[in-house]
Formats: sequence, structure tokens, C-alpha cells
Amino acid sequence: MILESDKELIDDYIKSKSELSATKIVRKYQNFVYSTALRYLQNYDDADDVAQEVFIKALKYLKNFRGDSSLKTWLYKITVNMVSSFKRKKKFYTVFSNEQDDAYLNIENQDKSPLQAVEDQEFELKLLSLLSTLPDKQRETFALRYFENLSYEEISKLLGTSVGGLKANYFQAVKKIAASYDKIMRI
Amino acid sequence: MEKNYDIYNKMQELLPDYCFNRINEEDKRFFESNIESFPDLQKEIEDVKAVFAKIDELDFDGIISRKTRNLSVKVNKRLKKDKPAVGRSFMKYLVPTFGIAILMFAAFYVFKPGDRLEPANKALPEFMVLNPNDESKLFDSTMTGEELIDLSQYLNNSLTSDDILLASRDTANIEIADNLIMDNIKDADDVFMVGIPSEHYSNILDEIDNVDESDLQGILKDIKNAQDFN
Repeated sequence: MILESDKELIDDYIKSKSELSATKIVRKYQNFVYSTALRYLQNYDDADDVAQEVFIKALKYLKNFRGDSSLKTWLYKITVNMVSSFKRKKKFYTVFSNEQDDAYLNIENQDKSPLQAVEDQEFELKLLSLLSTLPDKQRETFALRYFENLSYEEISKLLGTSVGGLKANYFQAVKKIAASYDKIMRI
Repeated sequence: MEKNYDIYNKMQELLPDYCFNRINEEDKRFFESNIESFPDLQKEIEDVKAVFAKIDELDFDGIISRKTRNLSVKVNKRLKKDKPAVGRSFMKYLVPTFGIAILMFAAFYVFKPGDRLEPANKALPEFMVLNPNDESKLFDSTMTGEELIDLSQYLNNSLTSDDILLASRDTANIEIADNLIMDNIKDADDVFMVGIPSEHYSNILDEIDNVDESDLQGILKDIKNAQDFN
């Protein structure tokens, strides 16, 4: 079911198609869409490209959104589809290109000392690399529960998995991450 | 035993939320009352808390927020760019169509496929279809020697000796006159075969002036018969 606040945003955009109404929708869900794309793509620049495409597509077809699910669920599905499409295209182009993808998690950490920033960056790299080794359902269950703080019922709608299955996935993902603690901490 | 297995499963399902302090009170009480029975889960809790303490320090939310701070601007910019969809899709088809039209125009007017049929016809001089009475007009004194030689290739035996004489007189060039005579006597090489050297041709030409028309025709006929016989 669509949130009341989301309904207002959608109605406002459909009626006015204004830059302000588009900005409100984007700002509300940009972190969610971007982080989802980042988990799948492991690359900040690619995640940015995909996130833009997701919102452009969503705003274009917003008038067709029926409200059967939440706007978040709808955006998540668009993001996952867009990521698949992006990966296919990238795979095709990398066959003919010798470029190495170095735009990988180029973090700007403004509040910490340079040494701490480097240590954190390496830790983040290892953690995200570890997340990428998890099966998709485990990774997404973990990320949506841990980072997005969604309920199991909401995650069930997104991933199409039962609540009991999600709980098992969540435990397995957390256990694997903890088991790799030594590897992660060794910097 | 079965009950313990079910409890163990439930403990596993609650463990992450317990570690991250996102568990409701009822589940929390259940978990804490049963954890003593499962030492492996106790170890698990220690490891998870250690790792995720570090993860929490990374402030993923802050990182993501910094990365997306300009996303709405980029999206709005692209939305504005994509707006004139009709004009852009029209241009998308107009340019290739225009290009193809230019290529077709160039192919038609530059290469002119019809021209390829002409050369064979062009080689034939117009006088190939002249009437017998007009043949004498071929011998135009303004014609060059080379033109006369080329022309001689198309002459047929319908030309009278007078015509030939006329042509030969109008040319001051012995070579041209020779060619005219030879081409109008079939198989001119036969003349050489009878042993007449070429330096006598001018004499022959001079003598032709004094030969009657009927005699000349007779000579030509004899030569022709000789050739047929051979």
C-alpha cells in the first residue's frame, strides 16, 4: 500500500511535472536507490549512472503507477532491472575494451585523518567485496534489513521470499560476515 | 529434542536483531532466557558484535548521502534535455533519410547507368546509314587525313570509281589515297600478292584517271573473281 506522503508527492508531480516535485521524490529515495545499485555493481560511478536512469524512468512512468505496492518497492524493482540491463551492456562493451575499471569505491572521507581514512576505505572495500560474494537473496536481505531497516514483511514483498526464509537468510549472511572478521580486520 | 531444535532455529533467527539491538521486548526476553543453552550462539554473538562495531563506525549513510547530494540536479537536467521528444525523434529519422536521398541522387546523376549502353553505338559514325546518293558527301575536303582513313573502313563497294577518284584527288596525301583505294578493293593484300610494289600506287592512281569507267569496273570484277577463286 502506498504511503500517504508518497501519494501526495506522486499526485503533485503528475499534476505539475515541476522540477521541485521531481526533486522531492528523488531526494526522498536517492540513498535507497543508490545503495541498492551500489551493492549490485560495486562501483560508485556505475551506481550513480544507474540511479539517474532509475529516477528518470520512474518519473516518466509515474502516471502508470497504480499504488498496489509502496513507492519504495516499485523503485527497488526498477533498480534491480536497471542493474541487470546495465551489467549486460557493460559486459558487452568490456569485451572490446582493455580499460580496467578503477572507479571502485573512491571514498572521500572528510572527517577523519588521512591514515584513518585509508584504513576505513580498505575495510569498506573488503566488506563490500565480501558482500558481493554472498548469494543475491542473502546479500539483499542483509542490506535491506541492516542498512535500510525494513521489516521482514516489506523485504518479503521486495524479494518474493517468505518471512521465515528471510530470517534464515539474514542469519546466514551475518554469520558469514562475522566468520570473515579476521580477513576484514587484517589491514 | 525436537523442541530444542525449534528453539535453536528461532534463536538463530533472532540473533542478528539481538546483536544490533533491533529486537522487540518479547523476543528479547525469549532470547536471553535460552542463550545459555547454546554456547556456539554465544560465540557467534561476540564475533558479530566485534565486526559490526567497526561497520557502524564507517557511517555508510554518510558516505551514501555525500555520493547522492547532486543526484536530483542531474536527474532534473536530464529530464529537461529529454523533453522535446518529438523533435529529437524526428531528427533521428530525418538525417539518415536525407543522407540516403543524397546518395541516390549522386548515384543517378554522377554514374548515369544509361551511359554504359552508348559507347558501342557512339563508335559508329553517322554515315553508316547514308543513302547511296549521299555517299559522295563523305568526301569532304575539310576532313583530316586520319578521319578519311577511319572513314574508309566503313566504305562499301557501292561507291563508284568516280567517287574514289574524287576523294583521292581532294587529298594531297598519297598514303590516304592508298588506303582509300586498298580498302575499296576487297582483300587489298591480294594486290601485293600480284607483285605490285607500293611505289607504283601513285602511278596506278594517275592511270585510273585515264581508264574508262567500264574498264575499271571490269578490273575490279576480275580482282574480285580472283579472290573468290582463291
